[in-house]
Amino acid sequence: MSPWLEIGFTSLTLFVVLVGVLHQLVYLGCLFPAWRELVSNGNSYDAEAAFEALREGKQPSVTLIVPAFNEGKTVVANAHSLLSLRYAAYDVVIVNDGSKDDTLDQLTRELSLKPIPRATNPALQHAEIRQVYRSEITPNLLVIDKENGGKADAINAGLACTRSELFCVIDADSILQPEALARAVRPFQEAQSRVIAVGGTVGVANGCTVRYGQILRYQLPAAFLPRVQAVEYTRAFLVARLAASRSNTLALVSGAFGVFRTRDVIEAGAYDSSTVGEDMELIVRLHRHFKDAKRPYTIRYLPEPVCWTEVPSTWKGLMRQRVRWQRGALQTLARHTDMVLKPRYGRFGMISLPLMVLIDVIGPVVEVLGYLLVPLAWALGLLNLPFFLAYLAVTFVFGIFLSCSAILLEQSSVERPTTARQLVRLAWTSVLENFGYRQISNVWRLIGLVRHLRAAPARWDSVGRVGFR
Amino acid sequence: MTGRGPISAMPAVFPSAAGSSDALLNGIWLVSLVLTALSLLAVLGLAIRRGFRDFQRKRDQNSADELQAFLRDWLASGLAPADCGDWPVEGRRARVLVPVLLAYFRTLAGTDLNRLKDLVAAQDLEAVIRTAARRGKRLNRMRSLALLSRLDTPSSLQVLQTGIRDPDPVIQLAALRGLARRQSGVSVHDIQAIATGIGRENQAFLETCLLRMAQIDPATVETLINPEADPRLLCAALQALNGVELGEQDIRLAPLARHADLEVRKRTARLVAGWTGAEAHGVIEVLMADPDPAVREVLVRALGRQRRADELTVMSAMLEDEDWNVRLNAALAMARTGPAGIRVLDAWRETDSALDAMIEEALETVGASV
Repeated sequence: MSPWLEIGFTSLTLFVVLVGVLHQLVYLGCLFPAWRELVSNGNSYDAEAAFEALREGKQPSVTLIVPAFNEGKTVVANAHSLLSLRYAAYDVVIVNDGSKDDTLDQLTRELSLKPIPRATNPALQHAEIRQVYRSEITPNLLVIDKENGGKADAINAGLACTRSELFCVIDADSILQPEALARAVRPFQEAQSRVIAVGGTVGVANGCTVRYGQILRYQLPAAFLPRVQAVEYTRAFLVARLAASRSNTLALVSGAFGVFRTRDVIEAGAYDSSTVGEDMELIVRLHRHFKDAKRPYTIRYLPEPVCWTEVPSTWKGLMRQRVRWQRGALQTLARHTDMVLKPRYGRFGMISLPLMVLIDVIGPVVEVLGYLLVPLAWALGLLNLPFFLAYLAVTFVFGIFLSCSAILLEQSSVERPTTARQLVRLAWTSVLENFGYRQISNVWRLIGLVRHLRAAPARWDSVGRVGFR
Repeated sequence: MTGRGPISAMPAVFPSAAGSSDALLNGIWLVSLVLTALSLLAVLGLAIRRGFRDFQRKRDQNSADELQAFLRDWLASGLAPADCGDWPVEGRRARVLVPVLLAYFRTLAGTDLNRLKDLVAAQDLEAVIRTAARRGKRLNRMRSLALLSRLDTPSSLQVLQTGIRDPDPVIQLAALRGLARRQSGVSVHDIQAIATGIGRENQAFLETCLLRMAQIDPATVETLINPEADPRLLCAALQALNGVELGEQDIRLAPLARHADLEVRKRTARLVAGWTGAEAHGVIEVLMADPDPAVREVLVRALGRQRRADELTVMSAMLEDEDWNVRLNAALAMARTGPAGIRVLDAWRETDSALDAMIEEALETVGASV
């Protein structure tokens, strides 16, 4: 090998290793603030206060916006589930986004829908609304029937018909814990906080027993794929988002469950229907909007309000989801590149967005390159054994430490009905996750990056859900 | 970082790398391994603890089930407290006594509740509860205080009064809540002590305690309404007084309409909408001109909720607000006030076609809620 080629090869390898180490250090750096946030907000919810507020009807009004596309089989059951929350004043708005199945027929038949007049906010852009209906059985349930326009477009249509101070977006196939809404609206009521959005934890419901739209029995998924996602979700929510919430640099409030101040979201331009990562794009835009206007604001993440969702249980479905997520993140970054490293956007522009670049743009490329280059470099004698071992430890072993730390954080601070046996399985899964799953996951992210660069058309694909037990 | 592989025996690629020792690299993988092993062990340790806890809980649950069955049977039998024999309150059953009794006290009413109180007195269970309220785990102490607040004895009141000066602020709040339930007066000084303690950290707790106080002694809460006060305390007091018959605080509400904190202004708007005092209209007019449309929206909503037909002029003016949401909510509020409001809306419909959709929706909403 020529010396120049060797130097180039070694430099590239070192770069790959350094980025990998940096990536892990970011997560390590998140652990302490996440723990501080959990400790400081651990007892902020007062069940008796929420009960009093419910009884007195003193909770702020919330509209649950539920975009639905071809959900005919489950939409009625989900509507009933959403109508049974422990909350005083809320409406449910189901947006039928031009479904091709019998979604609207099912709702009309089971919930006695009747057409009503509804003024729509002209500030919001969305596909044409055909008709708005109200249920004669439960007047707080509205159904919007509109032309197909995608998830973001459906949420915007729901938003145009929202009359509440706050709104919550929830996926049609998700289950909210009964008190989740009451917990999530609390930060909005605090003086001097100027909270504009609150995100909650999304839990993996595969394996749980569901009855009457509620989780009857919590169980860790038996299959490997959903179980490993449970570990992944714990790490993502309990470490990364909690730490970001503490410094008000949260870049994502999950599309599966988030509560927002209606007025602020409309003012910032609502959801962007031209991206597949509309949830992340909205949050970044909210940061931009408020920083530009020099208005104080806070975007919070609360570990306790839990929304249960069924995660993909097939490799194919999971791949589609992850590719879409990656593309969503990249589209958002591409749209807001001018915020990166700009002091006027504060910590969000100086820390959060550069980290997104590191993790979402450079991360997958470098990590996949590392899987190939580092063993090769060692085999060629360009890296010595201690360096090779250090790389393996940081890339494969350190991930176990992070996952276990997230599990410990969750179990010590948040009430979860996890049994001893389930904990052991979680620990075992966090080991397995780093040998195979993580590498495949990075390859999917790389595919997402390639598709983003090729500007391939994005669409909402089915992710292979099988339904609750 | 010298190459020692099978092909190359070159020295370090970068001069700076030559100085880095293998010890650092060894340290990285050793630290990673140790941290990982420790975290795995910690999860396993937690699992073992969880196993014991679940085992204990299962046994506690069995004891609780037995106690519940005993109480259920006794209540259904109609036996007098003295005739039910010795109560099986010992060992594990003593541990679950407080949560089981509290659940019954929360759900029972009327004769059954009084019978249960008699049973507690006849079996001298209060002594067990008092002991649990003074020491032990925080949750059990809180539950015990909640239970004592539902008894009528002087000794239970005494424990609550002691609890208000407990070093643990959460226990203080539980005691305060209990005293409010007992309708026993608490000094403003004590409320402020809690407000400046736990209330600074936790607004939900603060609101709970002020809400309770406002129900039994609104005048005490009214004294907290002072524009100079901490906005958190102010918000909690305004929230607590919402829906309560108001007294003398009208003079102090006017400056709050111009308060710097948005949430304070919004809560003032909610409160003033339900107030028919002499100066109410003046405060409403100030809020109506608030630069933040969110405050105007809250105000007009609250006026509608209170069906303030006497403020139709204000609502009507808000139909011309620059903000779409304020206009819509003005239409909704006017429809809620009844025939008078609907007549005004109809008149607007004839003059302003842009409002048509909003007015139609407002009328439909009233019909739906009827």
